[in-house]
Amino acid sequence: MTAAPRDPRRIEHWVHRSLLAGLVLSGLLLSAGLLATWIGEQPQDGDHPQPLASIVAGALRGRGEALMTLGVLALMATPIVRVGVLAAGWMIEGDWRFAAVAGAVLALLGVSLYLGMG
Amino acid sequence: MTVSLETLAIVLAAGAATGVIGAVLGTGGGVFLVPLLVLALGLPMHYAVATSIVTVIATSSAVASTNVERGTANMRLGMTLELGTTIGAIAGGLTAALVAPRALEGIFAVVLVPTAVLMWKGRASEKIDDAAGGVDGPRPSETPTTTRAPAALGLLGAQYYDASEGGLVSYRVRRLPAALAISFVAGNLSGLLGIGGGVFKVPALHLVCNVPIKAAAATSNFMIGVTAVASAVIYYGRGEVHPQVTAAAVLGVLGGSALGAVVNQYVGGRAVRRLFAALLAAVAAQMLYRAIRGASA
Repeated sequence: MTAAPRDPRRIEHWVHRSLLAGLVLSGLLLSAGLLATWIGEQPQDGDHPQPLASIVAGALRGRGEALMTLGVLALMATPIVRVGVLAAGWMIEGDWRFAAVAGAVLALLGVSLYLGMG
Repeated sequence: MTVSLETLAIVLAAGAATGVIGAVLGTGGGVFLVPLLVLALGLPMHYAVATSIVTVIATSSAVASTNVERGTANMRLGMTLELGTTIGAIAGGLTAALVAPRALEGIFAVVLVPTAVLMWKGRASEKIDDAAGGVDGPRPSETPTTTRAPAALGLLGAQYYDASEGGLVSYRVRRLPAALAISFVAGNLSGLLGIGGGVFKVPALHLVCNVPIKAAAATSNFMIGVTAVASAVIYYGRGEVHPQVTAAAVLGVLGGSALGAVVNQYVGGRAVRRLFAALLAAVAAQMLYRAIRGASA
């Protein structure tokens, strides 16, 4: 019995899927949030970002502003997940040089997140 | 800030146009969106810049998802240069209070003018260069398109199928240190000016690194999402991301990017290069105007 040949474009497929998943999730949340505000609710102005737990709670209650904020957060997470997928993919393929480069980019994004939100 | 339905419809349309331009030229479109939001819709500058930087993430993710599948975006090169852009974006965020963005805009406007001329003319080795790669003729149906290029193209070289060229296009990457330095500057500007930095990355990849224009645009687009995230979290943390305006702009960008990805398959490299040169000239004029207005204010 021979092993199935490895798809040479497996990493590309995973990157494509991770980006698409982030965009679909973000698009759905933003659309739902925009629709909710059109139906009747006006968002608050000038509020500083709420804690993630309260945003999620608001989104679950169907609050437009919380849904849109969650959509923006999902969008911001999408490229970070993409870097993580590439780091893992290159590591699995044994391409250690580029796995290390992706890992370094991920670490730098962590620094940026800490400086921005920490 | 109350936003009318009419304003949201205009933002949605502007986002769609930005998405098409981003897909074809490899930019985030912030250089168009920020002035439109500020001058035409009267949005406060900080809301406009925050909206723009979030839409750059949307453009990048939407266009990259297609270009990665097609093999046009060079992921290894993009990831390597992301080191430079991310460090640049963090440095920009930390030094934003120490530099005058208007003065920077004036300097870069002057730099962009000769770059626009060079982009219009194209690389001297625009035609097939055996050492650097070239167009290999029609892609046989059994040949997979892959960014893992033959060893002769080097560690960062790549190949992709270009329908408008009628074959596989192969290339070697040259002068990586110079591209890393330019990526650092582009990342720095992203944090300071609310742009993706594609107007610097695409010419750097094409003119300095010898990357064909369509691969340069795709690789730039692949990178700018990460650059933009590094800046966007800072704007989000300050509470400057307006949910409604951002939602409308992002939804427009997603629609426009999908359309632009289709259009991009049928646009030739020469047309992309010349459109980009026109874009650079327009950006240079805009930066110079703001620098002069800022200096006289």
